[in-house]
Amino acid sequence: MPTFASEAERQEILDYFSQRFGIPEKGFEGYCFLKEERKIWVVRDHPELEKLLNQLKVESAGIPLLRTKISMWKPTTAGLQFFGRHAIRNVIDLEGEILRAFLRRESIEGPFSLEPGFVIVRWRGRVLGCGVYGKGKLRSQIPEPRRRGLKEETDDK
Amino acid sequence: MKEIMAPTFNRYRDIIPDYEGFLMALEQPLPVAIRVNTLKIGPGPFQALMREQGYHLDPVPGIEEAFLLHGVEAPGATLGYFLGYYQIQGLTSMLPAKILDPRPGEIILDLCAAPGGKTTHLAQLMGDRGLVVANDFRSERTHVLRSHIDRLGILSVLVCCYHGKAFPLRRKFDRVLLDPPCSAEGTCRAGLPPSQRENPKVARHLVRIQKELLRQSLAVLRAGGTLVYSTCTYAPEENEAVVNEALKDGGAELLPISLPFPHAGGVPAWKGETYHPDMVKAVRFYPHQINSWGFFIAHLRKRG
Repeated sequence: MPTFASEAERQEILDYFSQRFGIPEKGFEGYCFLKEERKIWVVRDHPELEKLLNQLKVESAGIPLLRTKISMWKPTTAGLQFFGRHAIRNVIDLEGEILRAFLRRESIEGPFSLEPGFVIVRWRGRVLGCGVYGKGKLRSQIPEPRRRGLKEETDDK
Repeated sequence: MKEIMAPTFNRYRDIIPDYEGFLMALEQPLPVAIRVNTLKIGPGPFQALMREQGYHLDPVPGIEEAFLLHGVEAPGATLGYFLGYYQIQGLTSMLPAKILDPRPGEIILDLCAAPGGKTTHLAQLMGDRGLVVANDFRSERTHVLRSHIDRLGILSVLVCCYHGKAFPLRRKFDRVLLDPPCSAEGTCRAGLPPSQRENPKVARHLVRIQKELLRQSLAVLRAGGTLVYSTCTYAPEENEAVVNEALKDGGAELLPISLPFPHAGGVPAWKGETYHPDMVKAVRFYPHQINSWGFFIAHLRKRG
């Protein structure tokens, strides 16, 4: 059952998104962070939220935002699709064959103007999800069940 | 097809208007209806994007967020779907949330929520401001519900996994949506499986569950709060008879439903049982009147 992140934990999360992607803190105003094991959820704030979480056994709240492994934090595709629109850093727009290769989970040869680590991949400014950049290569981190079945329709029309 | 369906539906010959037209409609394939996720994109820009991608859309008069999507083999495999710009949802399945009419800031319960089309529609209608408790006791189905919540980017939904009839009474809700398991006769269209209703044991079991779930739904509804009961079946035993039980003690009343679509009223009597005189305020949708699933909807208010 998820529990509320402390003020210090909230600030740590805000700092991560600010430093990695340049997402301003105000982009998260009106939302609460909940934690469960090594996962952070983000949910719409509401005056009754805390009471409701105490009254009911809740399996999930809002959408998953981060996986907080000890070695690294990994943003989720769902979280980036929602908050990534505010990002100004470590963002890459893909088109045409490169985009199609990315969606097929192929490794894309760079170099790209990105810092090593997790990045936001967009198509025409629309956030597709999470990628990882390292050693000059970009790879998809979009969950396989979401990617599977996606028809390749990203031709330049 | 007509010959296959006729024995299943013959018992409704006297309550379905233009019964022959109804049987003819069952032979037609169901169109692909989608609901634009207006939390992410407006209907205008959505249409423009989909057209640019080569898709043909027709708007649905009366539901501004609804479109019919033509010529698509896999509507769940488009980039627009991946981006969470729309949900595949039958037209009549969009009506329960519209009728419940949730308001921003309210706390809503969807007691049998999976796979989540109506849950996410409720959150959308509230502008994702408020809280929707989406409950379903089948964990394999809440997995699907959560995948839709993630894809559509809905942040106001809490998912629970209680048996509906044991949902905790300590919390009262402003509105409740109850779309319980049913025999799904309304989904019988060309190319789709037949109803479960043909098995009398299954039918009796469903009715018992539906009555228990409606009782529990009213128990967790605040005084003055409203409830929508909906099924995708034609059987009065699963519709009017279930709602009638809830009206018997006077604790709830039926509200009128106003819709810009052709429909029939609830049936006043069935198999020797006469229902509450207000039952005509409930609505029935048939595929020859609206090109979608068959559906039943009742709108109730809990008296204070």
